[in-house]
Amino acid sequence: MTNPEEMYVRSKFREHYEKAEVQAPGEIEKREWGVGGWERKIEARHMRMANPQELGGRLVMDAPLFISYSVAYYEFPDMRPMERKNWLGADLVFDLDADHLELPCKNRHGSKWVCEECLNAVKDESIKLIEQFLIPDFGFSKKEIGLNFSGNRGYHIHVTDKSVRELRAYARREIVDYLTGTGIDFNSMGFEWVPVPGRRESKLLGPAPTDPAWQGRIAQLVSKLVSERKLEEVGVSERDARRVYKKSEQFLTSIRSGKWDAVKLDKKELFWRDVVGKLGVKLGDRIDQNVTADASKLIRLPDSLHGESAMLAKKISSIDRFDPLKDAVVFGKQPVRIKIKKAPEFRLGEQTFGPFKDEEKELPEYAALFLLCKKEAVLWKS
Amino acid sequence: MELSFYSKYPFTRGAKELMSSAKVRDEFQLMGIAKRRVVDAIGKGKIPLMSVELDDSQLLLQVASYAVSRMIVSLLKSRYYVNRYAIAEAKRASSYMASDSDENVLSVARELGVECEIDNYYSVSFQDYLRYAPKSVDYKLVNRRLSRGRVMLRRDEFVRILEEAVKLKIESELPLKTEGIPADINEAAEEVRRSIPKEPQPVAVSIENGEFAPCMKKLLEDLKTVENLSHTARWALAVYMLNIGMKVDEVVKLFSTSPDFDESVTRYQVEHAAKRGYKTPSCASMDSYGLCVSNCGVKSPLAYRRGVFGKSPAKHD
Ligand code: SF4
Ligand SMILES: [Zn+2]
Repeated sequence: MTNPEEMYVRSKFREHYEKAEVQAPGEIEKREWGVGGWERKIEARHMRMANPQELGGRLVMDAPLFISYSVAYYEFPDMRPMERKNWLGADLVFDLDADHLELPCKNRHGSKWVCEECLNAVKDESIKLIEQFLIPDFGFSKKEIGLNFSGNRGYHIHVTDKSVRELRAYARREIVDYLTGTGIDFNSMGFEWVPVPGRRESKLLGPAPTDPAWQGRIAQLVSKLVSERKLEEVGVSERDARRVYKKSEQFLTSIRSGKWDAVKLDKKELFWRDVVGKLGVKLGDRIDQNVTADASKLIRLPDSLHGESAMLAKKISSIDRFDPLKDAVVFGKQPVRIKIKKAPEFRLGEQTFGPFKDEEKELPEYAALFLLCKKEAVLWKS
Repeated sequence: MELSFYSKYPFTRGAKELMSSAKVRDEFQLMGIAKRRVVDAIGKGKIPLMSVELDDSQLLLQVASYAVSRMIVSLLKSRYYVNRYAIAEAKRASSYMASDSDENVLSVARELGVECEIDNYYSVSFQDYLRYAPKSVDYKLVNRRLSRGRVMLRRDEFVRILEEAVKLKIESELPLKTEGIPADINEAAEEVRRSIPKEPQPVAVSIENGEFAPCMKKLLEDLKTVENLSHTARWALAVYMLNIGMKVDEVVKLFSTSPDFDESVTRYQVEHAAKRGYKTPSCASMDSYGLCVSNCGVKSPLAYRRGVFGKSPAKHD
């Protein structure tokens, strides 16, 4: 440990862990652990912890800047290579990251920083995943779903129910495809052109809002877009949309019984892509998705500190009221003197700071630690 | 349960119990039926169904022949043969389930650990579904009705799921320990070995690994590790191999290591693809099939390769 910033941050993390209670994950002795430092989020892995006391001791002794454990359960978590660990099963864990949403604000602040906009968006995405997919479709109950802030710019959702443990890579991939709408097929959704007897044309049948799963979700979305007059959002041309709105009552009734004739699906491909895109959970690109499906990845320990923000990966009981920029802040307010390289305006707690550029400042401890962890500040020794 | 149930589903616990107490009188006939069973399963990929007018002693022979077949297959000492045998046994059971009573089908399901509810649909848990559903586009979970953790299926689809469960069950139980298997069964196994096609040797693909697009590399791996690849996946791989300049024969050979390989069907499909000049699916399509495994920054897996088979890189739009 060479640089004073890291030493300082670690000492503060240690102070926190001395008084904090961090709950160990279930069956801790079967998990692989990894810890990270100033340079990398995982500097050492393939470690085993025998029990929660050992974890507690490690947190205070080593004060790691990052600590994560395997979603998998192994017979020998500290063996290597991976095959020798003997995989016994794994939780199902989803990692939702504001960076994966590709929002316009990212152009403004890049991947290093977040803003209220992306934090809200990733929160909505997490709520969508839980309330529109995991509970109604997959049938998990609220108490089988653990939710925590990632500590930086997203949320982690843990399903620890025994019934998911043995799901293999292929099955996990399928679940990801389900959530993102990958490989969804128009005809499998109940869409079908059926000939009208005695006429040359055919009419379009489709899903009804009361149908389960994606079928119902698609019908619900389109009904909603009709009543809110927003059909253009899914690539329906303005003219066609207007025609639908004129008879929107009639349209809504017919869609309720699975008759889709009134929607003019001239640009079917576009409509389809947009509808699915709107409804699916955004889990990033292929690589991110493969990581989600990876049954041996390491995931941050809930209620541990994040070394890029000095914020807590806080467990959340009620996400609606959760404000990460306030609720995940754990450090105190005593002033710390730092020299700031560069930082955009940011809010932490109740207070807004910055923007800063090459200046020496006295900030409350939590904000100073935040900037030190972002590596946009150094301690200011006079 | 009746004897006819066990003869259709000889992998059930009840059938096993029956065999431990019942006695087959004609050992010679039994051996003949068992040998046929294995040869048909491995050679033709199909075990013919029983005639409908079998009497009790003949039904019992059928159950017993399953037990002997398993010993024979175990003596062949080959994963490939085991897989092929299991596939044929599963198909046989599946044909029976297709026309059997719901009650019987549910008994089989219970035996396999697949718990099912019937109302308008046959519904199974998504966990069981993902374990046993065929890996093809129309069985993709996203295209299914999934509600409260249960996937709703038509009867034929439910039977298809059970077929896979039967296959996995039989596969996982084989090979049996071969010490102490009687000499006449050992002899039968040798006879069987002479009447079935040779185990195909894995084809070394004459191409540097680094030259393949990652998705195709993955498919090639899957092919070797005997996972039953989905139709879409096979198709994409075949077209890709043709597009990079492989000959039809070579492509067919590539697929021959897969345990459910059927030479004439595969050849027909590959030739058809070659004749029609099918193009390798774009990365976007690969992605939508769930087959893309990376982010290569190209538009087509073909664009990934460089100078394979002495040709310059393929051009793409
Ligand atoms: S990006 Fe294209 S080439 Fe690369 S893995 Fe995906 S589909 Fe294959
Ligand atoms: Zn933002």
